[in-house]
Amino acid sequence: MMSPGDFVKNPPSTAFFHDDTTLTQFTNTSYEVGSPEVGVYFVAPPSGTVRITVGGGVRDNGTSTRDRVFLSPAVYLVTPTGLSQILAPSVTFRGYGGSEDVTEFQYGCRVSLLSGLTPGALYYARVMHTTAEVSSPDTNDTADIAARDLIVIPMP
Amino acid sequence: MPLVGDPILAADFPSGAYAADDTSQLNLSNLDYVPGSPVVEALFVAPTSGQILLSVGLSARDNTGTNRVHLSPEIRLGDSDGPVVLSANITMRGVGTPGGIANYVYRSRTTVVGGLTPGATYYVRTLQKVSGGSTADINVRDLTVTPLPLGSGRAGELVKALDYPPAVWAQDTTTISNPSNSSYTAGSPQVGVTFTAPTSGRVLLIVGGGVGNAPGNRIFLSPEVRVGSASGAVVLTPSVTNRGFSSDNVAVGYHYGSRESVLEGLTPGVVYFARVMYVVATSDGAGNNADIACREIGVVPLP
Repeated sequence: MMSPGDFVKNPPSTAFFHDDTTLTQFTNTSYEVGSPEVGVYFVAPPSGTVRITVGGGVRDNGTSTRDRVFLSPAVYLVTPTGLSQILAPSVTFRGYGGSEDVTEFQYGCRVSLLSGLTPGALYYARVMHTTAEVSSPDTNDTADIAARDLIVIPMP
Repeated sequence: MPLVGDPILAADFPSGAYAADDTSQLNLSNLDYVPGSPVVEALFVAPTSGQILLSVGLSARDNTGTNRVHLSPEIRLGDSDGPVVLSANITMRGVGTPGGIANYVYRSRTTVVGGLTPGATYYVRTLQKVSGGSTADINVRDLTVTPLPLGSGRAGELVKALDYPPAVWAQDTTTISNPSNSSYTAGSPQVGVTFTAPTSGRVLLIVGGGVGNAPGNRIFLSPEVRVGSASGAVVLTPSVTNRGFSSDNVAVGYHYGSRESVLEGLTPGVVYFARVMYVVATSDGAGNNADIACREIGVVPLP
């Protein structure tokens, strides 16, 4: 946050990525990236805080043993040697998750703030997806994704 | 809101606020709002614009019944004992589950709140209730306050009025029972806003509301954008896949939420008209049983 008399610092731009490639019949029970990858690079603002929106459309239209589908953000610090994960994908606080009882695509999103980023540092955020099997083992892999959204807004 | 020639003040861009808790609360039965334990709460300072984005999110279920969970924001002036300036209202501001879902789902709703007193400190918390029974559970509650305008001033540049046009917001709670239209319609009353594209040419579009109320064909709420007015040239056609919010096809009651997307390539300074359109997914073949409790649209200029 700025204080009175501070010089105004340049705000980074909003970064966003939307893709409506349908991912069908996916089976992974741990987080995967999917194709195409829905990810954005962004520069942390002076506050070190960004607002993250993750959303899309998910369903499982199987006739039995359906799964929930989760869309969750993962965030990485970009380093000279590669990506260093600072936020693992987790539906609990920042993800969007559908019900296994919903057999037609349901669309929505989830919003959260992520703080503690290093101002001026380059980060990479992406949407990852997984199924959460309600009955295991799932013999009927029928989970689908209609769209994935990611919006990163720098906060003052 | 900084205007041309105004100096930028720290008060124009106060910090956001975020609170979240994943303490499970099982077998809830309260039909009236309670804060739950621990309280999910935050303090924030209203920006010069008097506007914020207010988001609430939850994870909830009913694993043995069809009851719904409602989570709504409440705002008070000053602190937790201050006067209520925004009452908890599931239809207009809350997020909720559809009922008929046995496992936890995760979703949120964002609305635009205006008219706050610049510089004043406010207290915000989530309040929760269920639609009935004693079998609904909450797993996670969260709360996000995003002061507007988004972004901050451009270093070394004069601020132009067009850099920070205000966010605009429209909402209507007229019930629309058993709609059957298989192509998008604006409905009655039309829920729309007029806005001026900012210098960036980019805005955040928010659509949402309350839908469901009976299993059947889904209802989609999607944004449409035109130049100038409802009769202007179409800039963005409604698409639920790309920008819309929808009902769950199994919803036994109303459920509430929203979806956000970024629209870019607008011409700075041009006036646009945006409205929320709705359509019934008749191709689901499950009957036109669902209803609409609330429709809303927000347009927020992006840096």
